[in-house]
Amino acid sequence: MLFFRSVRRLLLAGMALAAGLTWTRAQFEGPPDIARIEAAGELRIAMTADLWPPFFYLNKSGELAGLDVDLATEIARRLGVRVRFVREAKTFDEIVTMVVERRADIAVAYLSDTLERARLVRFTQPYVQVKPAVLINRALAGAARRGRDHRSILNHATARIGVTTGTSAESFAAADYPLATIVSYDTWGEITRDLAAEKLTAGLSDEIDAKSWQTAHPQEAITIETIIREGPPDTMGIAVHRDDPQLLYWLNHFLTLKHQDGSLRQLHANYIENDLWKKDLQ
Amino acid sequence: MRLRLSFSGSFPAGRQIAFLALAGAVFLGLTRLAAADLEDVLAAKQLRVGVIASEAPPLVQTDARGAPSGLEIDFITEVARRMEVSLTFVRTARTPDELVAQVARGEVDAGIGQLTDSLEWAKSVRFSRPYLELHELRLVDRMAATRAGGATALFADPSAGVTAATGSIVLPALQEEFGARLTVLPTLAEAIDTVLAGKAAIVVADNLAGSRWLQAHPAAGLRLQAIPRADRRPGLVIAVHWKADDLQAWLNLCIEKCLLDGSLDALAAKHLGENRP
Repeated sequence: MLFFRSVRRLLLAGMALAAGLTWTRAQFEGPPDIARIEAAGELRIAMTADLWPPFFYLNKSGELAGLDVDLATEIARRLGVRVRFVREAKTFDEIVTMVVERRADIAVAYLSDTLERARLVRFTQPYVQVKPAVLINRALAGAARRGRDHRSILNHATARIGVTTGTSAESFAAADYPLATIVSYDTWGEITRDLAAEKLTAGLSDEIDAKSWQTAHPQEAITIETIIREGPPDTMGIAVHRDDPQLLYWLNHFLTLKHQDGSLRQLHANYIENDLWKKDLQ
Repeated sequence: MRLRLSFSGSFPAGRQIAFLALAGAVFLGLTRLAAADLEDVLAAKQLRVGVIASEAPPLVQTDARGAPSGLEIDFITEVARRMEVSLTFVRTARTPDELVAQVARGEVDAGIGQLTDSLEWAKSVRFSRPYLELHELRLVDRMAATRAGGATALFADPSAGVTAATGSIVLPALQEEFGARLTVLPTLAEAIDTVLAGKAAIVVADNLAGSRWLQAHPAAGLRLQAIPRADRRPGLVIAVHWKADDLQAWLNLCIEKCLLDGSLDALAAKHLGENRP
C-alpha cells in the first residue's frame, strides 16, 4: 500500500513538473510569427494578378519591378529571407483574403487600409498616400454642369460612375455619390474605354491612375476632364495577419526607420514624383 | 476532480510542509522567470533589469562599491521610482546581443545599456521610444584620407578598413553600411590602435565614447580627424519582452513625461556635461 502511494506521489510530481516545464518553455519561445518566416526561408507577398504600375509592373527584362517590389524585397532582405511574390488575387479584397488564409505572409500591393479590410487584417502605418481622382466626360457632365461643382453633378440619379471591383474607390463611390449609379468593372482600362465612349459620366480612381492615363492619352484631354479631389487622401499600408503581432511591430519599426533616414521619401521620388520608371516599363 | 493533499504516510508533517513550500517557491520562481508584463511587475513590486556587464561610461559603469552606476542606471532608477517598484539589476550579459536574448527569454523584465532600436533585435523584443539620442563620431586616419582624396572618398573606398568596438550603439548602422569592411574589436582602445598601426583607416564610435577617448589621448588628435555624423543618431532605448505590450506603453509614457518635465535633461547635464545633446 505504501509502495503504491509513493508511486502515485511520484507520478503526480512528474506530471506537474512536465506541465510546468511545458508552460515555461512556451513562455520562453521567441515570437512565433518571425520564427515561422525564418524557418520557411522566404517571405510570401500577396499581390493581384493584374499589374498596377508604378507599384508593381514588368520591366523590359520581364521582371517584376516597382515601388512595392522594392519595398517588399528590402523587407525580406532585412528579415534575412528570400522574397516570393504570389500574384494570385483577382481583386484587392482578395489580397486581404490571401493574408487571412495564410496563402501569403503579408500584402505589399498598392492596398488601401480601409476600415472594412481592417476588420480582417492588421495594417502597418501608411507608406504611401494618394489623393482620390475623378475622370469626367465633359460632354455628359456639360449638360448638367451649369456652374455646379463636380460632386453635385455626379451625385445625381442620371450619373453613371465606373469603379474597379474590389478597390477602395468602390466604397468611396457608394459613400460620396449615393444618388448615382455605381458600375463595377474588372479593370481601370475598361472604365476609361467606356468613359471615352460616353457610356459613363465619370470614372473614380486615384491621382496615380489618373495621371498615368492622362500621360498615355494626351489627345483625350479634350473630352475627359481630370479632377484631383481635395479632402482626405487614400492611404496604403502593409496588411499583416491578425495573429502576427511581432511581425506587425517589426514592420512598423522598419517603416519608421525608413521615414527617419529619408529612404521612403526617395522611394516616392523614384516612382511617384517622376516618370523615369516608365522608361523601364515593358 | 479534487486534489486532496494528504499529510499522512511515511513523510513527517514538517517535511511535507517544507516540500510544499519549496515546490511553491520553485513554481513562483518559474512564473517570475517567464515573460512579465506591467501587471506582473506591479504585482511583484519589483522590476528586474538586465544591464550590460561591460563598462560603457558615462552611460553604464561600476562605482567604487561595485554597484552599477551611470546615466542609464540613474534613468532606470527614476523609472522604477515612478512605477513605485523596487529595482533588481542582473548584470550577466557581456554584449548587447546577450542582453536582448536575456530579455527575449523573459529572464529579466527590461534591458538597458547601449541598446538601440535595431531591426535585427526588433525581431525578438519590443523597444521603448528613444530616451536619449547620441550621434556617430568617425575618427579618420588623416594620412589615409589625404591619400584617398578626402574623408568622403575614404568612406566610399572598399579597401579602407573600418573598426568599432563590440557592443557600441553605432554597430547596427555600421554593419548595414560597411558589411565585410567592418572589423569589430573587444574595446574602443583596440579599435583605435588598429588604425594607429595602419591596419584600418576609420574608427567609428558614439560621440560620448569617441570624445572621451580623444580627451584622454590628446596627442592622437594629430593622427586622427574627428568627423561627427549628425544624420546618424542612434537612440538609447529600453528593451522589453515581445509580449509585454502594457509595459512598453507605460515606459513610452514615462519617457515622454521625463522629457517634458526636464528630468532626462537634468540627468544628461549631470553625466554628459558639455557632450549633452
